[in-house]
This record gives sequence, C-alpha cells and structure tokens, in this order.
Amino acid sequence: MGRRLLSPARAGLRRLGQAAATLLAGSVLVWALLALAPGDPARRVLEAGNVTNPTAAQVEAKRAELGLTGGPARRYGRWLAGAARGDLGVSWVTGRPVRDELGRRLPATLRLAAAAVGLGAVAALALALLAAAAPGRWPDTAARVLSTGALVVPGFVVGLVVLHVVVLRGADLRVIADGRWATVLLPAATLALAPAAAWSRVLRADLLRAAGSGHVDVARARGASTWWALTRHQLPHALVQFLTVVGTGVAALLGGAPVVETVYTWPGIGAYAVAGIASRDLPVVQGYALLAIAAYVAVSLSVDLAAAALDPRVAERRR
Amino acid sequence: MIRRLWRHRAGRAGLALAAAVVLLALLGPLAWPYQPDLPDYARQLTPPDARHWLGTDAAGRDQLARVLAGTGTSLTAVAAVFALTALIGLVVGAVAGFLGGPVDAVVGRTIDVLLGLPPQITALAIVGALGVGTGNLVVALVLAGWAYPARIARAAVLGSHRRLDVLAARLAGIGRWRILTGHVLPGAVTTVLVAATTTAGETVLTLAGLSFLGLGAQPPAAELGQLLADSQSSLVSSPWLLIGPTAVIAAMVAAAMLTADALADITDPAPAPARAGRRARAARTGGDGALVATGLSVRYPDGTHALRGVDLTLAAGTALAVVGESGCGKTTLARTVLRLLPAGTAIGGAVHVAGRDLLHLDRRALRRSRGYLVGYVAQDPYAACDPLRSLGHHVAAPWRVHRRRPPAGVVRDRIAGLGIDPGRLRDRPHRWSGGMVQRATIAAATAHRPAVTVADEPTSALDAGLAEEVLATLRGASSALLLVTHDLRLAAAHSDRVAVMYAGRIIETGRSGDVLDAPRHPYTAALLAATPRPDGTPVRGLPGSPPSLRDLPAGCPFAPRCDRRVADCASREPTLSDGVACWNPR
Repeated sequence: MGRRLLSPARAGLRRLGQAAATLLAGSVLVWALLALAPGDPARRVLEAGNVTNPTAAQVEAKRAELGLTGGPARRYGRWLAGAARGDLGVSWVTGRPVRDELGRRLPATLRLAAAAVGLGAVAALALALLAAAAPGRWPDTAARVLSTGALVVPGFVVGLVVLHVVVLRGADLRVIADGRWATVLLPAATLALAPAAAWSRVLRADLLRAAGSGHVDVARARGASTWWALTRHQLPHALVQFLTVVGTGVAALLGGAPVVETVYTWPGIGAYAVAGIASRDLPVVQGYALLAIAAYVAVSLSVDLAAAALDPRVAERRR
Repeated sequence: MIRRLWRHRAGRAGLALAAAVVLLALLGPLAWPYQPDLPDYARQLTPPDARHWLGTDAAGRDQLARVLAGTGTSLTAVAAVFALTALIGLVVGAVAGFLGGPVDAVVGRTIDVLLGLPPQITALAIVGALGVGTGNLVVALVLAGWAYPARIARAAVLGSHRRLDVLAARLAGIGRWRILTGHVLPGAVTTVLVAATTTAGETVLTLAGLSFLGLGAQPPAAELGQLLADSQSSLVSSPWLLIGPTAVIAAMVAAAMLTADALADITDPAPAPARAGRRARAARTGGDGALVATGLSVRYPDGTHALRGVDLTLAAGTALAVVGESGCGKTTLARTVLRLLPAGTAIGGAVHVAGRDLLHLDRRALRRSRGYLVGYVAQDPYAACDPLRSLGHHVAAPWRVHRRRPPAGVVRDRIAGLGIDPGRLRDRPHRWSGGMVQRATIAAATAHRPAVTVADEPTSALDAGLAEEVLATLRGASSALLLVTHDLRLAAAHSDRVAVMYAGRIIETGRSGDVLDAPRHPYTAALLAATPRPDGTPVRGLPGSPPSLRDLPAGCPFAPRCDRRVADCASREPTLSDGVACWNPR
C-alpha cells in the first residue's frame, strides 16, 4: 500500500545490525567505567598484589601490562579485542582471570534465570487467561490484587520473608541454595514475582483488546464459547506481544538477579558482581555488566526474530 | 493537571499516597520522640509495643524513628533521580528534536541504543565504578534512566516546526531559541513528566534493591533498603522489623504506579469499559416469520438511545434491507439480533427467530443456537477473519466452534461452489482478494443454514462490480436475509422489502420496488436523491446532519432537515402507519 515492504530476510538483517550497534555501545559504556572510577587502576592492582608502596617504575610497568597506555581509542580497541576473545582482565582482588571466575558461576545464574522465566511466563499466562475470561468479575479482581502486591513489594523482601520467617522458623526445614536445579524453586519464584505480575497485566489487556476485533465478534456470533474465543482467537494475537514483553522482562530479571542471589546466597555471577562492587574490583563489575548486556541484547534479538517468524505481519509492519 | 488527576479515582489515590509519604518524611521525625541512631542496649529487638510502635533493632534503636529517617533519605534520592532524568531527558530530547539534522540523527541513535541496554545492569555497573553511596546511586540511576524521557521529549518536539503556532511565531520574527523555550518546550514538559512518572516506581524499587545490597547509604545513616539489609541477621527472631520499611517502599511504588496509570488515562482518554448491567424485561410475543422484532428499544450505557421502538418482520425465504445514514441505529439493530451488544446495554422489546425468543436465551442456549438461528456476515471481510488462520480454518470454523467435525468433503464443496480454487485453502486471508474472502465468510456464516443471515454493510469494503456479485451470492446462500446498508439503491435491487431507519426508528417500509419508485417519506426521497444514479441525474446531498440520539427533542426528529414540514412536525413525533411515519407524506 504505497509503502515498501521489507523482505523477512532484510528485516532480520536490519535487526541484527541494531543488536550489534547496541552491543558496541554497551561495550563503550562498560569500558568507560574505568575512566569513571576514582584512583589509578595500576596502583590498585599493585596494592592488591601486596606491593604497598609501589615505585613510579613499577606503576608504569603495570600500566603497560594492563594495556593502559596510549590514547583512548587505542586503549578501547585493545580492550575490545581482548573482550571479544573472552579476555576480561584479572580480578584486582584475587589476581585470577575474571573470565574463569565468571565462567564458574555462570551455570548457577543461567539455571536461576531459566527457571524464573519459565515460572513467570506460566504464572502470567494462567493469571491473564483467568482475568480475561471474566473481566470485572472476581477472578479478574483477585488477579489484579495479586499482581499489584507483587509489583509494589520489592522481590527481595518476599525472599527475606520466605527465607527467614517461613522456612528457617519452620523448625527443621533447611534451605540449601547451592546453585543446582533441585534448589532453584524458591529463588526463581522470588525473582519471577514482579516480572510475572507485569507480564500478566500486559497479556490481560492484549487479550481484551483482541476480544474487540471483528473476527472475534464473528466467531462469537457463530457460537464460539468465551474459552474458545480466548484460546483460539485472542491468545494467538496476544502471544506475539507477550513474547516480546517477556523478552524485555529479561532485563528486569537480570537486574533483580544480583539482589535475589545475595538474599539466597545463590552462587551466581550476580552475587559475585555485588561482592566485586563492595571490594572495588572493577574488572569483575565490567565483566559482569558486559555479560549481562550481551545476554540481554541476544535475548531481545531472538525474541524479535521469533515474533517476526510467528507473525509475518510484524516483520512487514516494521518501518 | 493536578486538578484533573485529583478528579481521577486512581490519580487521587496516588496523589494522596504520595502526599502521605512526603508528610511522613517531613513531619514524622519532628513528632516522634526517639532518635534514629541512639542505641539502647537494654532494649534490643523488643517487639512492637506502646513505646516502640515498630519495635527496636539489634542495637536497641527505635525502628520507627529509623524508618522515618530512612523515608527522608529514600524520598530525597527518588525525587532527585526523578527531577534529573526528566530535566536531562527534556533538554536533550527537545533540543535535538527541535534542531533536527545531524545533531538529531546522532542524539536519536544514541537514545535508541541506550534504550536497548538493561537499565538496572547499567546502573549497577556505574555504581560499581563510582563507588558506593547515595549520591553515586542517584548519578548512576540518572545516567541509566535519562534516555526514555529524552525519546519522549524528542518525539513530542519532532515536527513542531510545522505546527501553526510555531510558524506564526517564526513569521512574527521571534528567534529560534525563544520559540523553543516559549512555544515548544512547554508542550513537551507534560509528556516528559508523564514518562518520568511511569518509571518512578521502578526507580524506588531499584534504589531499595541497590541500597539493600549495601551500595547506597552507609551506616549509621538510615535508608529503607539498607534498613531491610540491617534487619536480615535478626529476622528469624524479629520478623516485624520488615514491616516499616516494606510498607513505606510499597506506598511509594503504589503512589507512582497509580499516578502513572491515571496520567495515562487522562492524556489518552479511551472509552471506559462498559459495566455489566441488567437488561430490561419485556412482554413476549410469538410470531411467524423467520425474524420478528416487536417494540425493540436499545439504550447504550452512555445514554445513547439507539433504537426507539422498532417493529419488523422478515418472512422466511425473503430478504429485508434496513437502510439509513450512519448513526440511525441500523447497526445496533443488526447487533441486537446477533446479541453482540456491549454489557450494560438496556434492551427492551422482543426478537423472535424461527419462533424462539432470542433475547431470553440463556448463555448456553444462546451459544448453541449461534450459527444455527442467526448467521453473521460482517462489513470488512478481512477484519472478520482471524489473520493468523487459514481460509480453510474459517470455512470449517462453524463446525469446530461447536466441537463438531465438518462433514466429509463439505468444506471443499462449499469452497468450490463459491468459485474458489480449493487448492488455496491453506493461504492466510491477506493473500486473497476482498471478494473471495467475503464469499468465504458468507459460506461460513450460512454453513448451518441459519434461519436468518444478518449482513452488516457486507459490500461497503468492496468495489461496485464485486458488490453486485457478492450480494447475489449472499442472497442465494441465505434462507432469510437481513441486509443492513446505507445504499438504498443497491439494497432495493437485492431485497424484497426495505425498511428505512432514522433516529432509531423505522420511518418507511414497503416493497423494494415501491419504495424505490415512489418514496413517501421526505427522508427516503432525500436519501434516494443523494445516491448516484446510472442515468446521470445530478446528486443532491442531504442537508444538515442526523440528530444526536442522547437527548432527542420533541416532535419529528427529521423536521429540522425536512422541506415538507407542517405544524404538527415540531410538536408530535409521527408513528408508522400504512408503511410511513410522516405527518405530510407524498
């Protein structure tokens, strides 16, 4: 209709380019953290290595070793090349490569995030379907009260209550949070609480919006039940948007992970990064941020591509 | 803006909560006798009592006093983040959007890229570099959060150079910056504040979370998230320590959320959802004919009286066309017969289809009857089809929605009978021509040979040649057809009888040929004169516009537009007698 439609392949390529640009900008931001940090990194590393009063020559040498010489562009280029190879520098506190430290803790965080996304998506779906099947009636009201509560109270408070009041007080129940699948339920549920509430609200609104479209009227006039219309004609339309919302909700999950991991002493990269901030271990913070940003960009990219594949109109509508 | 918020239910709750938190932070520490940082090792971890309303913490400090002090710290930080993100976002976004060109291209791209980053992670990383402390936390949150209001501000300002008031100011010789500050920015301020409010709740939670991690205020200063962290070690014995900080955080988030919701409502006034209500009961009358409506009246929840006593009969095997301008009630009539009116609509009178009382069917019976008693062909064939489903699905749907399997070969036969290549059944609707889709929806609507087929403007989305064809198909497929349209000439050609509607009533009815050749009501005559004719007679538009159906004046509703007005017209509304409702018919 007068507007040039992008072929799916070209739309996908364009989205890929956007993701690359975002990732690059994220890397600049993470690299620039070093400039924001007060103090001289070379001196900090030396002090961490028990050189209490380094000489100027020692500092110079360390600086060269850390790749801190030359103009900003050269330093950034060197840093990015390293990061692309997986070299995230060494921890200022332990002296060990950040890559190894993060790599050891990554599986626990991945388990937590995957469980949280799964739990949250299922809960949101159930809540939204219940609410949209009887808008304005009691299941809707109950869902709204529940989701409001989950949005208003910080997730970590729920975690604290669960952990200290319900579990630890409840006699001999013990919480082992060792990063394995068997113990993931409580932390994942805590982490998923607020995002699930937000997702269910969006899904409910989209389901009801879809109910107002002509083809749902036609289906109902044909004798389709509320449930039939909801699952066959409204849900498929809301699902693409739901997928996108869940994808962006991964940001909230990533942001909440450090707190929840700390509350449950979950041995993941979030809790490690928090410890790194407290001990002013910048490479650890940088490595964590870079990893989280990359994960977020990758998830939103795949969600967008999946949405385009599921609903050809999404790709055609773009630009 | 504040006044409009106050009139909104959620807005009032949000404002009241926000005010309560602010007053708590300002006046609380003055009114409460205890010091937030004075330890009393004789009273460690006492439960809430008359002296210490929220109990004491592990150092014997009064928890309420600490919560009050913490509320002040948190509120100040949140307010600072709110103000700075809004201000930076407004200035950067508005200036870029106003200047346009390369500056805008660079800033716009930067904003887009920053919005692609997860904000909490960005904030965490920046705190990691700057070091802990409330001030650094605020800086981090502002750096991570200004992009969203900036995008909103840019969008609000973009294209403002084409606005009339801006053009006028330029022509008056006012300089660019004066225009920006005097004409463009004020308009953007509201949108930016709304945008900043939508993220304020998130800010409160992020701030509390980061403080909880020990990245914000450092002891002995009190901050809500940090109070929660402090209480962590004694929670098993003293869970009440959670109450105060959590309540204040929840109140702050709720205030932000409610206000944001209300602001969204106020700035984008979508119609409020209709409320469920009861339906007016009416006397039952049986009748013969496929469709018999008696004394039908419909009033929408907003007070629109869309039908005001409609009587009509559609005999089996015939077609009745309901004609009128938009807003005359013809679509409401169709939707009443389909029972697709919004909840809360008051319906009076009765509708019988094949002898069954349609308006008093319960939900189950109604659902079972649908597709069997009444079939529906909608106006826009594309909108009537679920764009995610194939055409074959739509043709088979009449069976599937009733949990039945379509009889073998029936779908294929029907498709072939409509002149469609059965090989294309798996295509989605947007690949088909409008005529083909409409013919397929007709096949679906008439699959069970319903007693009545209701078609609401079935051809207005199609071109004229196709319209004739589709109407012929529709006619052939229906046992009795209720055809709703604005096109009197087309309607008359494809129906046995015509009912002309005006202001929620039928004002003329008769055999199609008679009404077309010799209209008796002045409105019918005017309607005919307003439709183009093949012989090239000049078209005369209808003078004036139809009346509002909310509060109709006394007398004939058409009188103000009528050229055959007589004395009675202004005082009494004529009723249908001998097929016409007029005091001075032709």
